[in-house]
Amino acid sequence: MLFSVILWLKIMYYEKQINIKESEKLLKELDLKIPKGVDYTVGIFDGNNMIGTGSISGDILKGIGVREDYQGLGIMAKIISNLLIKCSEDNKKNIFVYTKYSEKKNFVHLGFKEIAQVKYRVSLLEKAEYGIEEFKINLLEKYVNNKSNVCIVMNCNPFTLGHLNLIEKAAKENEHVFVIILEEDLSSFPFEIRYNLVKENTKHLSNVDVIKGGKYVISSLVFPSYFTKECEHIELYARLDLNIFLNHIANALSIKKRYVGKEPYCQVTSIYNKIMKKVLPKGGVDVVEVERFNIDGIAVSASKVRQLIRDNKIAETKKYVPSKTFEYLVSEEAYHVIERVRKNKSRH
Amino acid sequence: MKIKNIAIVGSLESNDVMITIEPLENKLEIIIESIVYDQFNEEIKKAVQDVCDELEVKQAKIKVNDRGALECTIKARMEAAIIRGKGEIL
Repeated sequence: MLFSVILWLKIMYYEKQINIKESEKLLKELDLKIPKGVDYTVGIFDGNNMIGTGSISGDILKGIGVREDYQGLGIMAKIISNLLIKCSEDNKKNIFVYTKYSEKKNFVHLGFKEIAQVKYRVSLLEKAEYGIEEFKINLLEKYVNNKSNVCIVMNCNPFTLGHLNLIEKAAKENEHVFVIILEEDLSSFPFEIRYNLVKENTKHLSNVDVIKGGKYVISSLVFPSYFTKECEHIELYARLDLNIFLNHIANALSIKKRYVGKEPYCQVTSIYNKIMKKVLPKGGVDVVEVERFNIDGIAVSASKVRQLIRDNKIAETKKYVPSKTFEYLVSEEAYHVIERVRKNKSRH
Repeated sequence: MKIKNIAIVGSLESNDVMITIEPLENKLEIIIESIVYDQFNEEIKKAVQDVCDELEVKQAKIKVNDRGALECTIKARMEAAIIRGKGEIL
């Protein structure tokens, strides 16, 4: 009887919401990174001692750890349950988690599905109602064909003659082209505008489909480096992104080649391209690198166009963008976007 | 009985079950994930269905993430999910 009371007391761990600061000590002890941009943190306590913690940042679970001498007691499940309930209260339906490759089984047991991995290093898992499987089914329903397909992934911030040139080249050399546009709204030009400009400017090409990239193509989830321009872990993120592309998207759309423009300016993109050339051919997708489109010896790029906008030389952009883009740039509708470009000093 | 809110009950700890219930029009959809799916998916579905019948829930989406819960646990969690989904405080 006494024994069972002691046992009962022993397993009465309790959970409560804490400030991320309080979990720092435990995370340091476990040699884990302290997460940034956290919205919510939970701590699991045994008496006054914190023995486990976990946080939510947007729709990514971060900073999850259990003190070593308490591992294997189901505390992890307690933390994840708490975080999932919180996510559900906030109406977040797709939840993601990055974890060490060796720890991924902990999450798989709790109903997470792996969407990409870099062998022996890191794994990205999701628990989603409309996850990558649904994304693939959606692609299959809309775009499946029996042709030999190639793909170009673009941000088009905004759409220039360089982009058009690359698409036209791919369309001429191949049966069918999928142009995937990054859906993340972290660029100066909003996604809908970028997407529509690509659609309108490629109307004359009958063998081109323009596709929304969703959460799985160079988004802040799978490749945050592209938006922050931080070089930390860039190789790892690039590999994850490319693995998703290879295993899910290229697979679903039966893509045989990926076209890419040479990147003379942006360090992050050029590292990404370098890794792409290593990773994709191994999975049966060839990489075709195309020289930048030149006008009077100047490489045409979206950053060049944004620089001209910043310098108050919108009229000069006419040389570098197709007619539809120029029409948009000088339209009244573009006013707010132009203002945003002017204020935004960074590359995006 | 009509489900008005999303409700989530239970936990993912061993021997427990986490149930999410959501409003849905015109049908009852039950999705089951379980560590003992191969052995007991029929039984789990029946337990969920029984509670729905008893409380007359005919339109809802129910997601069951089971970690090896006993039948009585599943039924109790289901009942709580429905009552919370209906908007009554529990």
